[in-house]
Formats: sequence, structure tokens, C-alpha cells
Amino acid sequence: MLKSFKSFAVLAVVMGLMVGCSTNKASEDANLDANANTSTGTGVTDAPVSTNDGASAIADVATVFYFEFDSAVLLPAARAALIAHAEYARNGSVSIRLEGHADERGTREYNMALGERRANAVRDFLVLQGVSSSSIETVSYGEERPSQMGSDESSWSKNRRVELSY
Amino acid sequence: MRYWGFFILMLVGFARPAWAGLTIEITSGMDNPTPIAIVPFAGSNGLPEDIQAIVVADLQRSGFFRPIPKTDMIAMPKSESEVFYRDWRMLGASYLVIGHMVNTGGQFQAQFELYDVLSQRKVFQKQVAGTAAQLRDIAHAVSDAVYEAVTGIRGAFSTKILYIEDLRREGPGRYRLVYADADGARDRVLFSSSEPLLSPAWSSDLSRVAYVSFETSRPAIFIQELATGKRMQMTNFEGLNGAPAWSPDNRSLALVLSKDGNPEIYTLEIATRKLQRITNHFSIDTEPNWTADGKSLVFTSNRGGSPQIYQVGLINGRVERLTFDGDYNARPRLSPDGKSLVVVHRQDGIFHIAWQDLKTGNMRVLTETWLDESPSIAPNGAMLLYATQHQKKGVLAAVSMDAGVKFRLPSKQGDVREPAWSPFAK
Amino acid sequence: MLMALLEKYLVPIVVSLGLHGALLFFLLHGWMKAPAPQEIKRPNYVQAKLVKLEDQSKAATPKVEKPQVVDVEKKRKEQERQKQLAEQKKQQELKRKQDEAKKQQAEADRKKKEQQQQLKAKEEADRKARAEAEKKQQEQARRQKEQQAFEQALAREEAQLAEQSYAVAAQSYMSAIAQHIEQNWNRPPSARNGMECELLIQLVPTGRVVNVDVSRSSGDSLFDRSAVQAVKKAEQFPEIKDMPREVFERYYRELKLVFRPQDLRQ
Repeated sequence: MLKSFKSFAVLAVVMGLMVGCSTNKASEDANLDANANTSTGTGVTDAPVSTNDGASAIADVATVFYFEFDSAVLLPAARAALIAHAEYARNGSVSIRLEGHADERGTREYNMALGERRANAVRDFLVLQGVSSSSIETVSYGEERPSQMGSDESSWSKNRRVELSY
Repeated sequence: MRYWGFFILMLVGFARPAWAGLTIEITSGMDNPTPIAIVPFAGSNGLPEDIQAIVVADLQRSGFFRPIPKTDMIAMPKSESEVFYRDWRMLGASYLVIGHMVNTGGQFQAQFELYDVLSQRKVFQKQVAGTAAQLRDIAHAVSDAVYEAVTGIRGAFSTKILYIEDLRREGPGRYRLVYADADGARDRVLFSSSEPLLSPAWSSDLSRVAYVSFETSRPAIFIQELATGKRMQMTNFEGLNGAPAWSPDNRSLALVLSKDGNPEIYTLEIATRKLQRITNHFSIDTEPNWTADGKSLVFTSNRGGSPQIYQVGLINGRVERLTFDGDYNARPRLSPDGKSLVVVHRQDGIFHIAWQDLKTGNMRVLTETWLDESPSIAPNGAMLLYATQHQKKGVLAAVSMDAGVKFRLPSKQGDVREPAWSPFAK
Repeated sequence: MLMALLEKYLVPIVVSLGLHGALLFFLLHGWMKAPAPQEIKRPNYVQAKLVKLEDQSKAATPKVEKPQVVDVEKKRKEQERQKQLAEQKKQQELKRKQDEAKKQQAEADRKKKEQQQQLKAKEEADRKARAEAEKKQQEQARRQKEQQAFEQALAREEAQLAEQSYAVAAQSYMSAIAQHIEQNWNRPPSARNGMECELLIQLVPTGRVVNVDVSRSSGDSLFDRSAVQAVKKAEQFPEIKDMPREVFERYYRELKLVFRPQDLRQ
């Protein structure tokens, strides 16, 4: 039995690599946030913009932040974008909805908690940046609402995210 | 003093002459599925349900039997006088089931007999009756009787399952809570929503179901009465509301709330809505499951760094770790006899369902598919239902607890997941 | 199969034949020696002696012949002398005859005595011979007994060796039979390591099981039933058919099977 697990694992990795190579383009097209031109899905590369422009200023800022597996630690690129959001939302006139997600691996309820952790991480950072916590709503969808339907690392990496909306 | 004599007499009475012949020890076996011949019941032609096929499928899926194909049978006896043991012996059958259907004005009665071909004797003779709509139930009752007579274990072929189906298209009715027979037949939708549904759980008296619904844009726990369809929202807290689990007396739900800062386990008394906090740790504590005596919960926690299974006493609050094998063990489900645990277990980066003996701590992987989750044990402890992927679709699969036979339930329209196997009807 | 049998029993056969051959030789050689002395002892020349004696006496008489003289006185004297001589002769003759008779008588007596003696001697000899014969017989009997005892001891040893070989052979079949049953044993889910039941089975030389009884239950009737079914499913052990009859009769007509699983997961 262990032998077949190992061969399965090898097969899975090989398949994953193959599928990953072929669907990279597709996943970019299907991405919810057109601005996010991620290569491996671990960070956002857009530069923050000034807050002078108000709503239009944050239009180009990323609203999806990605995470490592089983982790709720904000990545540096996410921080950069969040600073921009914080500046925009600091005056308290907008309410932010943070939706936390996880990739499909692991159990559903545990992933609910993981999604919440990630959403909380973003919220805590925003609060640190001066946004009032009462204007932030966090919800976790766990693995229930993936943005990518595949079962490979490239899809999974896209699903481990927090989505910010106003 | 007179008792001494009696005692000596007893000793003498128990003394047996020593065996002087050859003794051969048999220390292992093959445990091959038992070959069984199910002869199509007489008088069952033209019935809307194929009783023999249902029984054959039940027994085959249990992993314990190997039904002999109908086409191999050289005779189709209808009564004991027509049974020639040698013929069935030649086919390789260890057991034989024959029967006939009696139809009296819409009421169907199956009269059936089980024969031990090797010992050449009748094991039992039984009957079960029902309406035309209950023909499948009649067939499952036959399977239960045969299964129990041969294995000593109560059959679970007449039980039900719940599962969640995701039709993968936006809009109302995308997510459905489905109720079906244990073999997946006669499915019907209990509730549907445009928002996610998860974690269906049976009350032990089969009267109600608890589940998590996102219909209010946030996860909340609902209870639905099966007979009437009546629904009741039980929680509406900030943050997580999830993983409902019925207490053995059906009076409380154990659940997960993060209203106090991080996911913790609480118990909620259904009648009074009284909430009691059970865990108190900054880690993620979730997925509670009650022990049969109602005195403790097993749950998932990553307080040790990664998800593992723990047990907490409801009275003393003492927490004890149960799993040590591997770096990811979650969603514990206790076996009906309380002696073992079934978990989602990660090995070499792949998620499987694993079984752990609570006394020895030995863990054994049961499934070969990957991305396996949501194991649910049959009420007789002999089989396991779980969710997995097949051809990019979510399907349910079952495995016998000795990991002998594995099979997939027929795939549905959408992704099927989160099975919950019902308890026995009392 | 015959070659194998032959091979197995080659040494005992050779030893047995050798010992028997030696015994046989010893027996025959002994027979040769015994009768010879008896032949020498038999007195068969007694009558021959009698005939010879008579010839001697007849031969003796014509020898006495004297030359004749002319003188009358001489003649008369001669005649007288001759008369005297004749008288003498007569008397001599008589005497001689008497002597002869006596001699003959004595001879006869002697002969008779001799005869008697010889008879006695013969009797003695006979008796001795008989005694010898008896002794020989006894010795033969003793030797025979010894032989028998020797043979018996040999046979016992052979039998012991045979029994040992049967026991060894019986052992060699055990694992084949166990395997046959194990391949047919389907344990119920309630079975656990350490459960134990005992069956007593009866076989016939074709290897077929003709009776199965539970001699000691495990306490779990389904476990017991699974053991019985394993034997019934196995039905026939082909190894028994090829087993030497002695091994079968001693060890495999009735067999005890102990079912004690050690390979179950719990």
C-alpha cells in the first residue's frame, strides 16, 4: 500500500507540474482582480499610489492578498497594498468587508478558521494603520468559495487569500 | 469439610484424558470475501425494483461478500426442497439465499431463507413486508438479515445519509442539503441556497439535522426538522459559527464560535440557548465530536503547532492530546464502540482518511484516493463514507473499515461532499 | 513416488538383508558340521571279523603232515608211534578241536562279548550320538532362539527406526495441511488475536474430511463456525493421498486443529 501512495504522490506532482504549466494562462484570465499579475501567487507587485485621488487612487491597488499554506502571516507585498487601503479608509467613512479563504486541502471547518485567521490578520494590520475596527467586517468562507477550480499548487495558491471590498 | 469432597469431585470431573494425537495450529487466514449466491426471488419479475440486484449490491459493497453472478447459476430454487447443496458447493458458494415475493393487494411480502452450503443446513427463514414504495427497504432488510447472520454485525443497509451538493453555478439553489439512502438512491433535497452550506449533522433520534448556512451572508448554525422541514437559526454570533455536533441525548450542540477572539469550542443547550465555553486557548479549536457517554469531546486544535486531535472533559476541562502520527490530523469522528477514531490525515503531503486505535495509538491509512475529507462512519462501525475527487468532480466514496473494499457512489450533477451517515433507526 | 520411497528405505533394507544373509550362512554352516562325527562312530565291521576267524582255523589244520619210515619195530613203533601220534593227533585233534571249540567258544564268547561290547559300544555310541544329537538340537534350538531374539531385536530396532521415520514424515505434512486450511479461513469481524477454538477432524486415506467437531469453543459461535467452514471448504487434503499408509494410520486418521489467529489487526 505504501508503494502505491508514493507512486500516486509522484504521479500527482508530475501531473501538478504539467497542469500548472498549461493552466497558468487560464488562471490569469479568470483572476477576479485584473490588476494582480501574479507569477507564483505569493504576492502582489503593484506599487502603492498616493491618497490624493480618493476613490480612483485605490482603484489600482490590489484587493486580494495571498498567503502561504496553513499560514495567516501577511506577506510584504500585501502590507504595501494594505497601507494604501488604510490611508483611504482611515477617515472612517467607508466600511470594509474582508473575506478570508483557504485552499481546498484539509478539512472544511478547520479551513473556515484558517480563512478567518487570514481575514483577521488583514484587519489587525489595517487597525494598526489607524482604521477603526468598527468599520471592518470580517467573514470567512473557508474553502467554500475558491477563485480557482484546479487541484494543483497554482490554483491553491490563488485560493489562499483575503478579499477586500468596500 | 464436606465441601472438600465436592471440590475434589469437581476437579476429577474436569480432568480429561490428554490428547495423544497430532495437533496442528492454524494461526492466520485469508479473509477473502465470502462467496454468496443470491437467487432472484420467485415472483419478483415485473416489480419496479430489482430486489436481487439491490441485495447483491449491498452485500458486495460491504466488502465482506462476493456475490456469485446470476448468470453462473444453473438452478434457481424457490424452496428448500429444490436446494441441492452440491450444485452450490460446486459454484464455490459458502451461502445461499432464496426467496419469493408475495403480493397481496399492494402489500408486498418477501419470504426468504439463508442456507449454509458448507454445513448443509438452513440458517434462518424470515419475512419482511412493505408497500410498493418500500420495495427498496424490503431489499435492504434482506441484506441486513443476511449480513448480520453471517458476520455477527448489525447491517447498515437500511440507514440514510446526508450530503452537500454544489451545482457550481451561481444563483439560487446552487448549494443543496440532500437526504438519501445509504446506497445513494432515492435522494431528495432538504434545503437549497445560493450561499454555501456545510457540516450537516444528524441528531441520534434521526428527527433533526443541524448544519451551517451562509444565507445571512455570514456562517450561522441552523436546525431543521426532517419530518416537517421546519428550520430554526441557533446562532448568530460574530465571526465563526460552525461545526455543530449533537450531544448523545440530543439536548445540546457542541459548536465553534470565534466571538471571543479566536475559534473556541462551546456547548449550546438547544432548549434554553444557554452557551458554555469549553476550550480556552489562543490556537484554533474546532470540529468537536461527542463521546458516547456525553462526558467529553474530541476536537481539532493546532495548539501544538499543527492540527492534531485532542480530547477535553466537559466537567473538568482537562485537555489531552490523542494523535501523534503525522503533522496534520483533523476532523475526528469516533467509532460507535468508542474504541477508535477516524481522522483526515496528511501523509507525504497527501490527505487521506486514517483510522487510529485509541488504546494502542496505532494509526492506519484507509484510503488510497487523495484530497480525502469528511469521513463519516456507518452506525455499525464497519464502513466509512468520505468525500473525494474523481475526474475533477467531488464524489462520495466508501471503504470498509478493514480497508478491503472501496467504491464510489454514483456521481451527481454537481460536486458532492460532506457526507453524514445516519445512526440506526431504533 | 516409488523412487522416493526406495531412497528413503534403502539403508535399512541393505542392513536388514546383510544381517539376514549372515544369519543364514551361519545356520547352514552349523548343519554341515553336526552329522559328520556320527557317521564315523557307527560299528559296521563286526560280522566281517567272524568270517575271517573260521578261515584261519580251517587253514591251520592241514598244515600238520609228517614224513613215513620202513622199520617194523620202527614200523610198529612207527605204527604205534603213528598210532600214538594218531592218538596224539587225535587227542591233539580232539584237544585242538576242543581247544578249537573252546577257542571257538571263547572266540564266540569273545565275539559275543565283543558283539555285546560293540553293541554296548554301539548303544553307548548311539546314546552318545543321541545325547550329542540332543545337545546339538538343544544348541541348535538355543542358537535358533538366539537367532530369534536377535531377529526380534533387529525387528524392534527396525520398527523403532520406522516409527521415527513415520513421526518425522507426519511432521513434514503438518505445514502443508495448515496452509491448506489457512487459505480457506475467512474470519468474522468479531475475531481477535488470541481467540482460540479447537476442532477434531476425521480423515480418510483419500484425504477427504469426513467429520468435523468443535472440541473446544472460543466462546464466539461465529468464530467457531468460521473455523468449521474453513475445514469444510478445504474439503480434501491431496497430501494425505500420497502419505505412507502407516503415517496416515498413526497420525492423520484423527487430527486436532487449534485455530488461534495472530495476524488480525486487533
